[in-house]
Amino acid sequence: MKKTLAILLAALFVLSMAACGSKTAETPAPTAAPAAPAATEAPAAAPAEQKAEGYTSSQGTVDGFDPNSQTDFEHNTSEEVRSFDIGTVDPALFETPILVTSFGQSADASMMEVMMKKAGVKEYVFNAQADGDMVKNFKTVIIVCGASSKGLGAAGVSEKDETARAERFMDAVKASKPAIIMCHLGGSIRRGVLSDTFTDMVIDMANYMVVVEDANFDGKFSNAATEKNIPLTFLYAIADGVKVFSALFGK
Amino acid sequence: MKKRMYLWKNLLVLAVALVFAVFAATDFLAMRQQEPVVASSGLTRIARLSEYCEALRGTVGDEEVYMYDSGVPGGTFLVLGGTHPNESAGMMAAIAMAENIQVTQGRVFIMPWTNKSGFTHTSPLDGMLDRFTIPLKDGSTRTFRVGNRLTNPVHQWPDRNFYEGTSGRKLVGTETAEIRNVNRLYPGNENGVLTEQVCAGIKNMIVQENISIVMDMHEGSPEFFYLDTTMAHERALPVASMMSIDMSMDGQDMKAELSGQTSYGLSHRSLGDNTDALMTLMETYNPSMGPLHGKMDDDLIVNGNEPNYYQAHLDGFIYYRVKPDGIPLIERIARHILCITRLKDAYNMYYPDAPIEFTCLGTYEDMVALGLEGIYKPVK
Repeated sequence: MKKTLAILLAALFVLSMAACGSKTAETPAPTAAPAAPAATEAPAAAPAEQKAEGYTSSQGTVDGFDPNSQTDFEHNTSEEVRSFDIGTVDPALFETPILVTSFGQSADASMMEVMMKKAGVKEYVFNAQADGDMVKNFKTVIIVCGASSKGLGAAGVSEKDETARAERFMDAVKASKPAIIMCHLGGSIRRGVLSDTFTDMVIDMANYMVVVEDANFDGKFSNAATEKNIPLTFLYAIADGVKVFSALFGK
Repeated sequence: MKKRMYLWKNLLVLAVALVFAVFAATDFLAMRQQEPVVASSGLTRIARLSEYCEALRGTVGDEEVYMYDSGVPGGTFLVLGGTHPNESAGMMAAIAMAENIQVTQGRVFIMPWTNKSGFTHTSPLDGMLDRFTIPLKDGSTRTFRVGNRLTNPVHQWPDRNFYEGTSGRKLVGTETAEIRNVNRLYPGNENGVLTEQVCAGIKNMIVQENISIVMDMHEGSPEFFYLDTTMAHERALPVASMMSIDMSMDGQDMKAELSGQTSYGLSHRSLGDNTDALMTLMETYNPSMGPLHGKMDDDLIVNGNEPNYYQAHLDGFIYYRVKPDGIPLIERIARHILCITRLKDAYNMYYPDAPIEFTCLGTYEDMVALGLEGIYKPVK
């Protein structure tokens, strides 16, 4: 009996050697077990003994946003309807020269600069870390709101520093009173505690808002447009802003 | 008599084991057969990574670099495919480019198997497909491998309990196996483990050849946050942002995101910090990489169709906009090549003194219309 069992076990062992490395569809593979973390792009947990500043998770560090939480809601924009307006914007409000800056240092600010180039706008200055003392030199200020710890790291500033800069900037805006365009271009992934703090700072003073509609899953922007009477344009995708800014500044 | 019977029984078991072992070994060793590349007429030469890191000579890491030199002065674009061999669109896009590109200004270097060792094995216990076959227009077929994310432990062993790469990244705990991950060990070390030597070869090549811009092609599981996103080192962000807008205007959603300052060892961070090249890395959707996929077969790899993920998206558990019929490999390959083309255009806008010009397979729609059967050449 023991010997029979031993032979059976040996045969099973040998069979298992040939069972790995399945071929094409002609020899169907067994259903895959859940992949080990190293086999996917899922991040490894940051081990304890890392550099003081820690590793950037490959999943990103968008503040407070759960990327796989449900954010499906009824959109006004679509692949066929690329932009949607709430209220009517008066282009005459927005004169040159224009300052483009960022609150939160996300890559969206760089996308905004590209959009200005694509829209053919010439009289603008892009400074992602513009301080309040620059405001008085400009008639229109475009503030791209969206926090990114990667962006803050690249800029070498802390969340506290960025918030302080944003507050100084808005104090200067109150003093100089340029026309303000609040842009939120990162979609739902650019919503979270810090991003919303920056957005709220600017909405209070905004003359116009341009928002990728995906970010409006809780009605934040549409409600602000209605309650504060601020014209708002929703975009389906960030590139749809090129037409908007071309129309706005292409006088 | 009894003893002789036992001996024969044991010999029989051994013989049966040997038969199975031969079949299994043949299957495993078949993974070492590299798929051929029918390079376009623009190919100038095939270099080897050992030209940039002597330690790689004679090893599996002595990888091919397909070089296309127009002879007209300009910049140089390096395309890395197969950094993670289980991310099929990366290698496939690199091979498609190598077989179809015509460079008219500057140079383009293409590495289809950036982790060549990784293509020689699959993921154990995952029931992973090891190869898939596509039919071509002339009736012939081509077979491509699906490898493992990491270097084969046959080529580099052991995984140490602690290892510090030259970027400062400490591989410990859940990251011990990452000592075999090319995309964790940049800028590399000529005296390090094999995978690090490959990284060092690539870094040295970027420096010595004065490479202007690099695209490292990847795929991610549906759960991954940065799908259809190009990560860019801060110096490359303006170019990547322009590419992103251009692709969006082509009808292909593509985001640009900054490389994390602490993404030590990854290509977009550590090659960006240690060379003058503009570093970018792109991810597309690959359902075969996630835990929710069903049967691993050609349909999953080639058609990218996994109903589980579509349902997961409908149920709100997957942020990525999974299409009902999935995203076939040809669309993912076309997206990679379109991204590289638009990156090149954006690079030329920002760096007009050293432009790079090439044509490769036309628009996204052209490539999808050609299909896999049209973009790969028959092997004669």
